[in-house]
Amino acid sequence: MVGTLVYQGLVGLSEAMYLWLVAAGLSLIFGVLRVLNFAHGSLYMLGAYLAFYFIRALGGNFWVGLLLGPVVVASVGWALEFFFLRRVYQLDVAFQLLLTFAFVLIFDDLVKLVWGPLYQSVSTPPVLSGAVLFMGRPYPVYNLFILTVGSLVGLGLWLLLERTPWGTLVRAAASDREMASALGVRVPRLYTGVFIFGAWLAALGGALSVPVHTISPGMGESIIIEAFLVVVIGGLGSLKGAFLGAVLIGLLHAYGIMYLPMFELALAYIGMAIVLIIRPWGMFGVREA
Amino acid sequence: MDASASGKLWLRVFVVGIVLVLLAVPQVAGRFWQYLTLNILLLSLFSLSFNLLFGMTGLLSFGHAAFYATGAYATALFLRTGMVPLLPSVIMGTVAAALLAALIGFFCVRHTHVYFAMLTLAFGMMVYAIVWKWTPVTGGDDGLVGIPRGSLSIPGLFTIQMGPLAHYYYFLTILALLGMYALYRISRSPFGLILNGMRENAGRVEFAGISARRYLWWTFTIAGLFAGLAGSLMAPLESTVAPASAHWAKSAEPVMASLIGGPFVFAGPIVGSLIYIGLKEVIVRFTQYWLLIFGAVLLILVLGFRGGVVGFLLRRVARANVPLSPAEE
Amino acid sequence: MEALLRAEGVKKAFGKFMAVDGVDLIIPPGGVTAVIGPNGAGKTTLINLLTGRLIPDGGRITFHEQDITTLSPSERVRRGMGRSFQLVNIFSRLTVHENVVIPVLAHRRLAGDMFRSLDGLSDVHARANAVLEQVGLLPRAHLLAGQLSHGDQRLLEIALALSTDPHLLILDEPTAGMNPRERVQVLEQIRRLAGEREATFLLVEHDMDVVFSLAQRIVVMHQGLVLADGMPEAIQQDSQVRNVYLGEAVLGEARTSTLAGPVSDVILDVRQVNTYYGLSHVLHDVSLFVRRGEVVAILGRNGVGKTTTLRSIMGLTPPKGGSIQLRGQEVAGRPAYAIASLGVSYVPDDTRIFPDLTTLENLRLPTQVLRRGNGRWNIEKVEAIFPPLRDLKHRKGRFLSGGEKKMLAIGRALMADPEVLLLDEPSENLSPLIVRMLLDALERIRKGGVTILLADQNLKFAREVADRAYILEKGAIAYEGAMAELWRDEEVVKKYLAV
Repeated sequence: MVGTLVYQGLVGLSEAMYLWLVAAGLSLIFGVLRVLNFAHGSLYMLGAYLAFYFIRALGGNFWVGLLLGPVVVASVGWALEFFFLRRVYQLDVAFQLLLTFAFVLIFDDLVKLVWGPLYQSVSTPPVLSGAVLFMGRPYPVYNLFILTVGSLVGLGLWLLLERTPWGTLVRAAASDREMASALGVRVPRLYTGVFIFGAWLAALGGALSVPVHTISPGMGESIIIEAFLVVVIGGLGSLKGAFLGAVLIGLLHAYGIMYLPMFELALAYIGMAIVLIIRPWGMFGVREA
Repeated sequence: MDASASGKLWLRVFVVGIVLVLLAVPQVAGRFWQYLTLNILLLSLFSLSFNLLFGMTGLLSFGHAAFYATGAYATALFLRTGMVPLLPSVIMGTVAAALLAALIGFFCVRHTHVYFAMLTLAFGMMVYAIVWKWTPVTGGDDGLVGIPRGSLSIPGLFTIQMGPLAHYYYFLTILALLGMYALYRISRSPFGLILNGMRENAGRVEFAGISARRYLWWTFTIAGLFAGLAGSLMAPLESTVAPASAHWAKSAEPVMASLIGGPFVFAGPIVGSLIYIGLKEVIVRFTQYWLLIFGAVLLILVLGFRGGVVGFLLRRVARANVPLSPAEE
Repeated sequence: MEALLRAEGVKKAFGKFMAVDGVDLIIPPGGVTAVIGPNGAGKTTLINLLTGRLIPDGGRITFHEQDITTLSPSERVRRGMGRSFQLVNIFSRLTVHENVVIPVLAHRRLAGDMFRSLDGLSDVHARANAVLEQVGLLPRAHLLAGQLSHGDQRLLEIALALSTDPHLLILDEPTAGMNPRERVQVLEQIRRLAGEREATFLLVEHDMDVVFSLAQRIVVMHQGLVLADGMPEAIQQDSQVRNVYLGEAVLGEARTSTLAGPVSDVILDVRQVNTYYGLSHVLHDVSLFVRRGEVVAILGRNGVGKTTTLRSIMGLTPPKGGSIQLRGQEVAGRPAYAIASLGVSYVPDDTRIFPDLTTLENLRLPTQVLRRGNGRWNIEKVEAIFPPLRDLKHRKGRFLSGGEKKMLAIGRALMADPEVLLLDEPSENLSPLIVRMLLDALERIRKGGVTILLADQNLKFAREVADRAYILEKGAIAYEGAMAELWRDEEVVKKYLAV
């Protein structure tokens, strides 16, 4: 009994890591740029497809795909911010949302156009395939890998934001963009940088999912919806909230499938509704004017 | 007679003309054109209900298909029992959508516009997931098929079978026009002006003695109701309802139609629906990737033509004072 | 005493800062009461508490002897309160007429009606027109509100508040950002309305002409408290009030000479700058110059455009017209970060310390992005000037006190290695001890080769540090001269700076 609980919890945790990578970028971008990027799920999807493409094209090396996919998506992120988002910062928030939404439509079809509407998959790299016995059950090595990467990214993000000069600038611009500018921070360039970084995080999540999840044109939409649940629960703009929210959703899914299969889907929404009633700005969110 | 009065007269003549044309379609055109006309009417009603939120109130919903689908599924379920006639089925489907909108709206209108957009998309996809998974009731992946159109009857007086498309054409057209007229009346009512006020400055409305949140909740519910009506009318027309009707791609349709036509003029979404369906008819003949094209169209609209076609025409041709966007300096 | 509105021990804190710290206030029916006080005194917070925009942390508010402490704004409006806002707060994309129809509908309980045609409600339109007639806007009723001049928008703002027939009308700086002609027009309107209506007015205002021409009673706020309350004549004589407006008498004996330093060529030259916030025309042809090595003060009461002048120079509110030259190089219209990299640094009045950053991070931030690299300032030097910062290295900004934030803000600006330092209200809300420290600090900063342009309400403080002074009045330069001369000129001081 306890064994099942712990095991299932670990399964939930490893699934939560993909979500965390996407929600982290989404929340970071919102925290600094004040723009909600609907296309963030599409960047995750692009990350997966590009990693898949590079793995296939370059002789099946998973690590090359994992490296190159997110880098290409990061440059897509640069183009998005530099050529498009920049033009709508001063407009009503509805048009910022619509702009990113337009890219959801574009990327979705673009992916179908290039790679076709069918499911794709690649195999797990040999080093990471197989399973270890955990409480008498086989736990995939790849899940351990994901847990490690997710935790490392969390740690790295924390170090980056709290311990590096760039992180100081990001935190400063997030809380007071105007004052940062008056002290010499080139805010537009910083915005571009944050967007690129957020895009890279999402794409990393996508690339990591390639060996275990099937790749399909619908993957962007399902992850963005879940990421929305995560940031509503955790508080939009808070990385701590994004992490805990992702873990919560991951666990809800893992245990839901086990004990309440009929309501598994509804659980996350019920969780979100409860948070919205008790703490409308999320667990770690701040009230906005 | 001054210019605005003559303008009003021409507008009335124009509207009556369109209604007459609509009524004449089954007499002069075949199934294809009837079907296309009905689709335009349905999307117009759907988009107008969306635009009650977006154009009038400034709230951008990405989950409006939830209510469209609820109306469609509920109506289909009633019709499939064979016990409930067409009109009561449509009414109950519409009411079901409104009830769901009241429930979801309760959570969505309490927040900033960013949260509103995010929450509507999430709740919309919740409905999609339910439809997909709740196979015993919704038919799951396959949806509900073989929905009868039933009949319109007053017991003892008359019964009209709705099986023939031409019959159903009139039923749908009349109800859709009534729905659009109701939305028009709302836009011209005191309530409608308050909504416009909320779009401009919700805080100030509060200081006029009006509870913004309660009014937004009502608006959300009404918008859901008319989206539900559109869905309810769609189900018997197609005789099938599929989960796609709840998908966000469906929610994107009224967004597109409103932006193409122009969200800040009442007729904008209607013109937009006409253009959207027309364009789609053409595009699908060349490529299945019509969302790609519409994404690009949306991009151009957002970057350069935020008043849509009608807004553009009014500004450039009639030189009228049409606002471009809810809060643009 | 009969009270229309009564506040008892009302409190509101923002974090550690007590914005309103136990205010008792009784507004009897009838008449015009004005609330005045320097920046940061808590006036706007008090208004927000009275009208329901904020809910007090403690105390009680009654209206018509009924408890309204926690009611929403809309509830209070329904009970007969009306308010206008400091910044224009209208429905700019609706017509002027529609603007007024909204509150009229709400007042008549018709706002929720979806079935009737608005066009058919002729009595509503008649009432809206009557209100517009009252404020003189009827001829422009068909325009979009956003197309009105700023003065007319303020009038519309008042019309919106009027149209619910309030028993109590609260006006927050009704003449802010107006040109003189518009100001006279609005004053006349308010005076007329106060005369012919049975309503009671509560007015927050910075412009002393407005206050003394309208109010029968003046309430002076300072540091979240009511400092004085009485007839205008009594307030004018009040020495406490005089101190609040001209500076605390804590600076001890005035120095006999100003800080004479080597003064050479003009480093900052501002010519005929005009700056707007939206439609609000804040600066009118402001010209001033600062020589290298000088300390120049911009004086004036609050709301006259001092902050806007500094923001215009820094590039935070770029001017619409005029020229700003730094060492002969045009900088008007350039982004703030570019101006910062040319050697201008800014200390805002509310310090704007980054709350999530520690003291050290706040200090290091400018050095990370600006490679000016003269190395004239470093953390040790800043700490030498402001010793208390030494023990606060790793404390986050949000946990610093007001005085500590002020020191840090100045230190942070120095770390940008400026040639010109812009200081907004350096002495505001500081204890005498810290003011003393600040004076010493400014002297050392100046000796370190930094030119200083400061904006202050506090004449005594300015006298201690500045060589020359400009006085701003209603967004224009009204006086310029040597600080010593100004100090002796009782007439100018009374006219532009005192109550």
